Amino acid sequence: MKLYIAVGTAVLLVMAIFIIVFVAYYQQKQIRQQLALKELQEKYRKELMAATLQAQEHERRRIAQDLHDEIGTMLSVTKLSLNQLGRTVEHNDPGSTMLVQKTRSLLDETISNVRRISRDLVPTTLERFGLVSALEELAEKASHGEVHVELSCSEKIPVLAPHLNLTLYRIAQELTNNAIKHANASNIVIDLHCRPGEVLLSVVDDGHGFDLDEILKDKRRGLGLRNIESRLSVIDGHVTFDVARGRGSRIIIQVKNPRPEVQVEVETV
Amino acid sequence: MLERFIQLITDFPLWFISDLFLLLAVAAGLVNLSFLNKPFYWLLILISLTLSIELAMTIYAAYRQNNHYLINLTSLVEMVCLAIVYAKEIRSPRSRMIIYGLGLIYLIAFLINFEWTRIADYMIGIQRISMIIFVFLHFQSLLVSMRVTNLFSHAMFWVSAGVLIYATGTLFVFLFVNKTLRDPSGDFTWYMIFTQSFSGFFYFVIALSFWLRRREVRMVEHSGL
Ligand SMILES: Nc1ncnc2c1ncn2[C@@H]1O[C@H](COP(=O)(O)OP(=O)(O)OP(=O)(O)O)[C@@H](O)[C@H]1O
Ligand SMILES: [Mg+2]
Repeated sequence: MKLYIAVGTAVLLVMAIFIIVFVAYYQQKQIRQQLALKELQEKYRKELMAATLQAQEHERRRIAQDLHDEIGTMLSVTKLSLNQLGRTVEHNDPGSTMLVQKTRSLLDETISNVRRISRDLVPTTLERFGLVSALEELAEKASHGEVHVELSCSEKIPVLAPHLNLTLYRIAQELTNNAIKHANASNIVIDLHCRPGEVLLSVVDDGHGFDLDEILKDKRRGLGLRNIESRLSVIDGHVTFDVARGRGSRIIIQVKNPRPEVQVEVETV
Repeated sequence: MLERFIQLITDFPLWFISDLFLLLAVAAGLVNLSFLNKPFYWLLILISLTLSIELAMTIYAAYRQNNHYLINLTSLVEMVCLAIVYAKEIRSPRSRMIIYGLGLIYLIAFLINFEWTRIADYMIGIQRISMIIFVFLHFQSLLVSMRVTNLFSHAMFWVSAGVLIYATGTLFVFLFVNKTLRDPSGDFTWYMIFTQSFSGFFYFVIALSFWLRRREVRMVEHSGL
């Protein structure tokens, strides 16, 4: 009997151990698959986001081109014929001269508005002269009346990939706009500097601040901050809100810069 | 008095080792008390009750009195506590129904088969089979829910593995108890040592699992969840 029991038990034990090993193996395999699936989904989400952002930029570029080439041209032509009309009217009907002049100045204003809008839609400066110049231009344009916007920037800014440049620029644009629109700030500082392998962009204002939790809970809030987050998710960036009600805000963007540190400083020949 | 205990130890050294593991398990449970959740809490109760029964058994043995009803009691304690452990650990209502059903069948068998001077017939066999089913239910829930990311550091998995080895290792001895432990011409001591080694292993795994539980909780705290 002892032998039967011993052998039977041994067989059972082998089966039990087999089951334990099988459960462990199978479960771990499933978990790995699940993780891989999640990663894939995350990657897909990022790609979708990147594609959306790119499509947005394309669309902007198209609108800017149409504005500039079609409406701009039409307006110029209109101005030409208005000038002709003006000359005819000056001789025959001096009373209408005033009206023609008024129309002309309205037209001029419209032309410069169209040019401004089409230039704002596409960050031409960014593409031609780089991030620092684009931010300088942004600061200059945003400074208006009471509001003073200033760029502070360490002199050694490495060359960044074009999509990083664009992302940082768009974010700086939104943050500056927010500070002007909501904070009632008079001094805004856009700060750009680099650490090894990392670029930091922060926008600091001296306005009245806000409560981040409250804003994030608000379902009807604007798109600005959300867009910043989705833009950053594409490039694995990180945003830190150092904000509170009753004091100025500081919003810091951290972006990894995988490129080797290539200095932008012009080499002296 | 002391000589009798020493005599016991030298007669049944393996028995003593398994009791040592039991003591170790209770100590491990108490040390890690603050890390235990409900199922582990019940595991600690199981181990503590087993320890007290084991102590009583040793005293009976030292005075050479029949202590077989205590073996039956140990089975009852194991069954009730493990049923609660698994009912708390496995959240699915269907599994719970099965656990409670098995518990009920066991209790009926207990009432019918309990004996004061002999190891009960069938009852402990039913207990071992129920334990195996509990473990299967737990394994199934692990595979279905996929909530555990690292199974090897999941303390409850090791408890189940221990329970499974313990139950399968002692199943035949208790299933054919009439031909093994209850057989007057059989080798009672051999079978007892056989089962006791598996008990020792089980207590050892439980002792380990209390530490694993501590590590698991710590790890979750560290990952900030
Ligand atoms: N610098 C700031 N100072 C004070 N309040 C701010 C600042 N930035 C954002 N806020 C608050 O956070 C809210 C959300 O900003 P967000 O940029 O997401 O939306 P928005 O600017 O209102 O709309 P949109 O950007 O889509 O035009 C704002 O409505 C404002 O109340
Ligand atoms: Mg905004």
